[in-house]
Order: sequence, then C-alpha cells, then structure tokens
Amino acid sequence: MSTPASRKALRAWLPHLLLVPVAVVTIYPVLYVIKLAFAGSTGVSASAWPLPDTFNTAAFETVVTRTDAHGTWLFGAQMFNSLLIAGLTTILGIILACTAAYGFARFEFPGRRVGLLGFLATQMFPGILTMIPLYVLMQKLNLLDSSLGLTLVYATTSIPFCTWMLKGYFDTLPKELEESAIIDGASRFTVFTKIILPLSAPAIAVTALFSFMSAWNEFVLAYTFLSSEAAFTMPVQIRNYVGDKDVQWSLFAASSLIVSIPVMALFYTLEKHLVGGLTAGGVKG
Amino acid sequence: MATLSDKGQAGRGRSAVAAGLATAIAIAAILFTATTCYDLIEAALRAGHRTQQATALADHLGQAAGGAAAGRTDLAKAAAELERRHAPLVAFAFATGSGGVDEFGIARGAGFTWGEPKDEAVRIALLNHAKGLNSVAESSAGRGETVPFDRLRTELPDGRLVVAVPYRAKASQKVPAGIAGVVLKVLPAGPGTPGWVWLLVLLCPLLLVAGVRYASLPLPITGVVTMLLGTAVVISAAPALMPAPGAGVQILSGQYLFPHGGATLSAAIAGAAGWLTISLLVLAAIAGLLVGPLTTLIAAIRRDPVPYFYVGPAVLATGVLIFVPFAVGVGLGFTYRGEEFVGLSNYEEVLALATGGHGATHFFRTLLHTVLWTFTNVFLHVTLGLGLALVLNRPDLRGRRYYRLLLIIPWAVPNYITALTWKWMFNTQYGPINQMIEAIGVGQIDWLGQSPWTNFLANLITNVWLGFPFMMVISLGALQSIPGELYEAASIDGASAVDKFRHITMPLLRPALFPAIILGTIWTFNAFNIIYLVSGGAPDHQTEILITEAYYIFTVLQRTGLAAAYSVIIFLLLLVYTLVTNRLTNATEAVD
Repeated sequence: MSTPASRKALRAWLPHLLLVPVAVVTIYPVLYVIKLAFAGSTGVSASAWPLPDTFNTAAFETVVTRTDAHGTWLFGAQMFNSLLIAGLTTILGIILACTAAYGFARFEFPGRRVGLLGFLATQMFPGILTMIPLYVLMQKLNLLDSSLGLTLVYATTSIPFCTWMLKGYFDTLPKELEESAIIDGASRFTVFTKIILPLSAPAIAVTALFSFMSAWNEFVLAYTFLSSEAAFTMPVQIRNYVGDKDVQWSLFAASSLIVSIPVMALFYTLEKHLVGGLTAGGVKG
Repeated sequence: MATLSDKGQAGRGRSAVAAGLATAIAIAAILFTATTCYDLIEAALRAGHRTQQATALADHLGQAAGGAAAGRTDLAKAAAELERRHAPLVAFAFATGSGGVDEFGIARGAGFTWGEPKDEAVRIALLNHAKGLNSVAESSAGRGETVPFDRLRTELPDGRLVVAVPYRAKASQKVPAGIAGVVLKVLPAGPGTPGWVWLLVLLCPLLLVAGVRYASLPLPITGVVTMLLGTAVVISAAPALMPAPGAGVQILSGQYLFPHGGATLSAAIAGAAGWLTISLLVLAAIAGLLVGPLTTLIAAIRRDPVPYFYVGPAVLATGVLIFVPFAVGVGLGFTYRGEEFVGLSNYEEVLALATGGHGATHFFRTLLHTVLWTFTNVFLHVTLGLGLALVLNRPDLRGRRYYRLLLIIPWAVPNYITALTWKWMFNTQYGPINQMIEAIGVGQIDWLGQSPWTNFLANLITNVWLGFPFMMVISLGALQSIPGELYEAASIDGASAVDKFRHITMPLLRPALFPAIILGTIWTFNAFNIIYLVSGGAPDHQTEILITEAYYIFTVLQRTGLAAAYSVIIFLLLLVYTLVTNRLTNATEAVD
C-alpha cells in the first residue's frame, strides 16, 4: 500500500467506494417498484432482491382496463383529466406569465416592486390556508368535483413562479434590440410578439414544461377537491390503490410507472435549465 | 492568498486550542439550551394543563353522559372511572337528573343522582350552575349543537373549577335530561421559571451564532450535536407531552352537547362590543394606508397604461385566486367554522394547547417536531449533497456523467409516488427493508406502527432520499464554476486540503448554497406529501408536522376556523424565518 502507484490506484478507487453504495440505495426502490409492477396481481415473493423474477403484465391490464359501475372507462377518464388539467394549466399560466414577466422586466412603473415582492410572497403561503377558502368558493360555484376548478387554481398558483423565471430570462435579453425596432416604428406589442417571444422560445418551453410537470404531479388539492372516481386525476387514483380500505401494491406500482415515466423523461430533458431557474429565478432577484 | 498563509503559520497552534475551547463551550451551550427549552415547554404545557385536562374531562363526561342517555353506561361507574383516570385533579364527580320540566319548559335539574357534595354552599352553587347550563344547552340546541367550553365550566368561590356536560336521552329531545360533571381540585401552582433562565435561553443561541460567526466553530459538529440531542429530547419526551389516550371528542349523534374552544380573554373583549370599534379602526387604518398608493397607482395608470396592460391580467388572476382566498383564510381564522365570529379564540385554542381534547396534538410539540424534522432533513440533504458533489467534482473521476444521471433519479420521481413507494419499503410483512433485516437475523420491525421513533425514521429516510439530489446538483454547479487556479495558488502557498476547503470552496459555494438551503427549508417545513403518505402522523399524531396537523383539523375535525388560524401561524413562522435568514445571509438580492 505504500508504493506511490498503489496509493494512486487507491485514490482513484476511493470515490467509487462512496458512490456505488449511494447509487445502489438510490436505484433500489425504483427497481423494486418495477419488480412489483411486473409481479402480477398476486404480489411479490417475500425477498429483498430488487430485480424482477417474472414479467407478468396482469397488473398493467387491470389498471388500464378498469371501469366503474356505469361502465365508464376509469383509466381513460382519469388520464384525460390529468392531461386536460395539466395542459390547460400550462397554456393559461404561460400566457399570463409571459406578459407579466415582460411588463416587470421592461417597464419602470409605480407598483412594480410591490407586485414582484407580492409574487414572491405567494411562494410562502401555506397551501392549506388558501385551500380552505378555495374549497368553500369552489363548493359555492359547483366547481369542487371538476377539472375546471382545479385548472383555475393550478394555473394561478403557477403564475408567480413562471413570471419570476421568465423575467429572469427577459432581463438577459439586450434592450438595444427593442429600442432599434421601436425607432423603426414598431409598436411595443409588435416588439413583444415578434422579437421577444421568438427569442425566448427555449426559456418559455422550459417554463411551460415545468408548469405542466407540477400540475401533473399535484396531489393534495386534487385529493381534497375531487370526490367522484371519474373526476380523479392520476395521483388521486394512485393513492387510492393503496388507500385505507383496499391495498393493492402491484396496481400502485404499475400505475406509478405509467404516470412517472413520461414526467421523468421530461425532467431529464429539462433538468439543466431547472436548476438555473430555481436558484436564479425562484429565489434571487 | 497572503492572509491565508499568515493565518496558517502564525496562529495554527493557538487557534486550534481556541477552536477546541469554543467547540466545548458551544456544545455545553447547546446542551443547556436544549434541556432548558424542553423544561420551558414542559412548564408551558403545565400551565395549559388545567384547560387541557378540563377539555379532556368534558369530553369524557360527554361520552359518559351520552352513554348513560342511550342506556349503555352506568353513570356511577363512569364517575368512578373519571376519578381514577384524572386522578390528582378531580375532587369528585356528580350527576344531576332532570327533576322534570318547569312551566317555562326548562329542565329543573333538581336532584343529584350521585356524588352529592357535603358542603351546602357548593351544593347550591352546583345546582345553580346546572340550571344555568340547562338553559344554555336548550338555547344552543335550538341554534346548533355546540356549547362554548367556557360556559361548561364555572369557578366556585374557593377557586375550584366545575366542568359539566348536559345530556339528552334522545337526539331529538330539546331539553337535557340532566347534567354530568366533576369538581376539580385547586392545584398549587408550580415554581415559576426564574428570570435568569430566560436570559440564558435567549443568550445561548446568540452565543452559538457568535461562536460560529467569529470564532469560526465547525458548524457540522455543532449541527450534528444539536440535531441528535433535539431529536432525542423530543421523541423520547413525546409520550409525556401527549394528551391522555382517548381524549378525542366523540360526537355521539347529538346525544350530548360537546364543547368547543376555550374563549376567555377574547370572550371578554368581544363581550365589551370592543370588536366593532377595533374592526372599524383596523379598516380605517387599512383604508388610510391604501389611499396614498391607490391614488398614485390610478394616476400612473392614467399617465401610462401600457405596463399595466402587460402586468394586469396576471396580477388580477393571482389577486382573485391567491390573495383574496389568503385574506378570506385569515378572516376565517376569527370564526367558528365560518359561521360565528369568535375573535381570537381560535388562536387561543391553538396556543393554549387546548386542542388536545379534540384529537389534535399540542401546537408547541408539533412545532418542535416540525423544526427538528426540517433541521434534520436539511442538514442531511446538505451534507450528503455537498459530499457527493465534492466527490463527483474530482477531475479524475470515471463515469461521472452516469453517476450524476443515476443520483438525480429521486428528484425526477413525482414525490407522492416516492412517499408511497417508501411506505411499501417499510411494510412490516412484505417490505424489502424488513426482508433485509430478517436476512441478517434481526426480527421484524413494525416501522409504521406504534413507535414514534421508527415512524420518524421512516419519514426521514424517505425525505432524505427524495431531497439530497437537489442540494447535490446545486453544489456541483457551484463547484464547477470555481476556477482551478485558486486551488493551485493555494497549494503553492502550502495550504492543506482542509484549508482550501474552508477558505476557497466554502466561501465561493455560499452564494449558491444559501438560497438553496432557504428554499429547501421551506419545502421540508411544508413537506405535506411525505408525512401524510408515509407515517400519516402515526402513532397518535406524534409524527405530524404543522401543515399536516392543519390539514387534519380542516378535513377530519372540520374546524375550518381553527385550521385557518393554524395556517396563519405557519405562514407567520415562515415569513419570520425568511426575513431573518435573508437579513443574515443576503441570499436574495434587492429586487430591482
């Protein structure tokens, strides 16, 4: 061990001695969920080994083909709800956030500081405090058990964060571009739609995908507001597979895989931008 | 680098001694603070004990009365049980049977069916109280099902407290059939906390902060000690701080009238019609504060409406669906289920620890648990994340890309799925963790069962697994932006690896790490999904954090007002935290 060569070899191996166990712990639950999903409806054999021993797709079949008493195709309805809510949330949120972010980034006006700080403050509101009155409000408007109600709530809660992220990006675009266009006679709005938006397409895409992901993954509000199975979003259904009365781990695992694989793929595409956005846009000015 | 080497050579021996001493002092300070804080909380609990225990008693009495009315319970046996259960506090239990109904339709509550007091004055006082209660109960029965807690209790001239619950034979019966109650002993007040203790408690954290800031104490060591100690204190003390089992309200289909919220101070203020004046004053003050900005705003919109055209829709939307509900939520905090204005009584109920009687946990215990939960998590996230980032940042590391891809998996998985997956991992019978433990030869552990320790650990492991990648990625990004020449220069100056870490890496990491820590703290503080889906607060609410407790109060107890007040307190705590840390670290730069 004392020769320089062996010491060097040891130094090269040392990081792996730390990293491999951590990586194993990280991957283990994921592998186990995969094993569980392919174990069929009977559940897994009692063992700690995380790799699948069978490839039985019974759990997937059960999850995908479920219907309720009226013959409604539940998986289809719930998937549609999740997609619709997340999609609408993204569109609505991004339109409002883009204009607001441009306003905050390019104009100096009374109330700007208050507005920006107010948006920042919303990130600190405990969800439950706004949830209580929203619950009452949605109940009065008959929107409690509907996709529209959730969409409105999700879209507005995503606006502040998206605005901050986009404002951060708009701040980096040189002002000279717009100024020369305005001197050439273009209106502010033309500048915004023809110059700024196309230039920011990547940032807008990242923000949009991010807000899609958060709506797709939201659990508490959906769990509290939705009561009929056909109106559920996927997270509520997944939780109910392992609810208080009826525990079906294999169905949980199968539906979890179906729901999380697309968002995980999204996450990996976005991850680099997300970090910058979170620290620069989310917290910093 | 000149200062670095100067410090390294001139004062190495001395500074090592100083650092050792300072560490010892800091550890002593932490020990002292932790134990004293615990004592203080316990003292606070004792002070709230009587109200708390009275509420629990009222609940038990209600159950007994309800049972008696339904013919299930023998009241005399129930009385004996009550005296046994609430041993040092109860002087005696009594029940009055209805003496029929008088000409006004009010039950006379004439005779005692058990526990008649020897003292004539007390007997009369009790009978009067019972009569009063009957009319209270009757009028409340007309409006709703509740009698305010303070009206169920009365103080006898000698300071003894009477808690009584009216009961009805049938749910439909308007007039109560009788009263079940107890007389509480006067307990001597405990010794007060000496002033110097408070002073020290205030001073200790300051000393600690000063130690870290000026004597550059190793933060990790002090952090670990605080964490372990605090967790140990809270978790091991948990059973002692809990309300007696079964103290939860059982609403027996309207067979007895159950108490809600102790309102003493606020009732007095509200009774004095002061609220109208106060609310008018507040409104006037708000209006006065708003007039100035609003006129400027309107003038500005008139002058140049373009910016408002851009910002307006988003501000309106967030205003309507975030700020208005927020304000309404704050308002709801002053009501009983949004129906009746009750002033500050919800806040009193939260802070006076009276909620124990309603199946919820002491606020301060939950707060302490939440703080430790947050601290433990963020500490582990940062150490693990930073450690991994340092390893991954080694230029000679092979397969760095793949490690990174693998290690951020937990961040990519939706967190409710993570929580449920770990719930499976900790499953007693089939869960892989128990399979491994059994393979080693240790028996099954009932992770999510009756022990607060294992429940806490299960939550903690889940959330550490979930949260370390964020800190790792942030640290790695910051590490990669540090120019390598700095390290080379330091090496030439003879700095050791530790010196380099302390004087180059840490200072340059700080600007990236602090905002991430603030963000991570807020996330963990409000980590609803993890607690709700993994331990669910088990056992008996002991692993609940503030936000899940508020959710419980809202959805299970359906005490809308109380839940709103609870969330306002959570919000204020987070606000103070953010402002203080911001001031200390300058993490968020000025907005403009």
